[in-house]
Amino acid sequence: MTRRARSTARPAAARRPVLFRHIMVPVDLSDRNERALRTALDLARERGGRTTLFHVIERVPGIAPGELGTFYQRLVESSERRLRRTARKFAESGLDVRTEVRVGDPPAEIVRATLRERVDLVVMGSHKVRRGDRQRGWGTTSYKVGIFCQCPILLVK
Amino acid sequence: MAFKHVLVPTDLSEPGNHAVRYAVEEAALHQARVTLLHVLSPATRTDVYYVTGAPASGSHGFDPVAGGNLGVPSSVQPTVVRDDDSEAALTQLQDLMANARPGTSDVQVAVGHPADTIVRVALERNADLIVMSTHGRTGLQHVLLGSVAEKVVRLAPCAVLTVKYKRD
Repeated sequence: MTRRARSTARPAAARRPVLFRHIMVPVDLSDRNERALRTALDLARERGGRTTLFHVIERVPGIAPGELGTFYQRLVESSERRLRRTARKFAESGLDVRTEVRVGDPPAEIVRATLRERVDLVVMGSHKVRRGDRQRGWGTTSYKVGIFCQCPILLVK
Repeated sequence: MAFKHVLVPTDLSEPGNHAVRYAVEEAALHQARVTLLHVLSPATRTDVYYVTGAPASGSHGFDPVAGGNLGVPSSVQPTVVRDDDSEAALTQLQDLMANARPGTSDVQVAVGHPADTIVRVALERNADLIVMSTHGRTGLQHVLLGSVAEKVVRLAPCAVLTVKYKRD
């Protein structure tokens, strides 16, 4: 499920070892990821690092995975296609970009992937929580990833 | 979109200072300004001690045995010793920034509740990135102790980079 977009151009900034060589952007394939993607692209360009675009398909609870095998398979394939379209911008900038799609619980899969892939930085979108509305956002993916992820996290507003 | 002004709040503990390195390196890459911030609780006090040397007997002042001119003020000026939390914090902040590029960083001590004050300073200073450590507590400990970083993440007007502190 991992694919790598090859590019002929060398990364723009492969000069010196800097922080955050491997950046992961978890995307939910909505238009809300735009800012996080743009920030990640800028950061990766500056340091010529590797980027992984990661998408998790949430498993329907209470149904054995076997029953929905082809359903998930189709979802994975269409998500892959959309992720690769998003990844094109990175590849065009001469960056090493990968896409990965998993099925499971989004926060858990993201945290697991950061460990497996030795990710140095997770870039995620986050919404500003209004002052009178602090309860909102407690169960969000970014909140859970923030607690359990061992690597630095950049939350973009 | 390069970051132009990085705000780094620290509680001056070892985990708190852990993020400073990341911030300074990130800022150097972006040619950004760095502001190091420490927030003191509103209960912070300043102790001022006036230490006065005893006047030499017989010269001025009243001596109960020898007598003398009552009411003449002592010419010895008291030494003022200040024990000020905010000054101590400023010194510590300056020490932390000792090896940042000169002219690109400053330090600030503010008074208030940590998370709210960090967000306020970020707004005032137009910071576009806040870099801060999280102590890395999970589970029940996390729920009980809460986290300033978490509150900042929720309320911040700009991007927030959280760096987990690992004791190694």
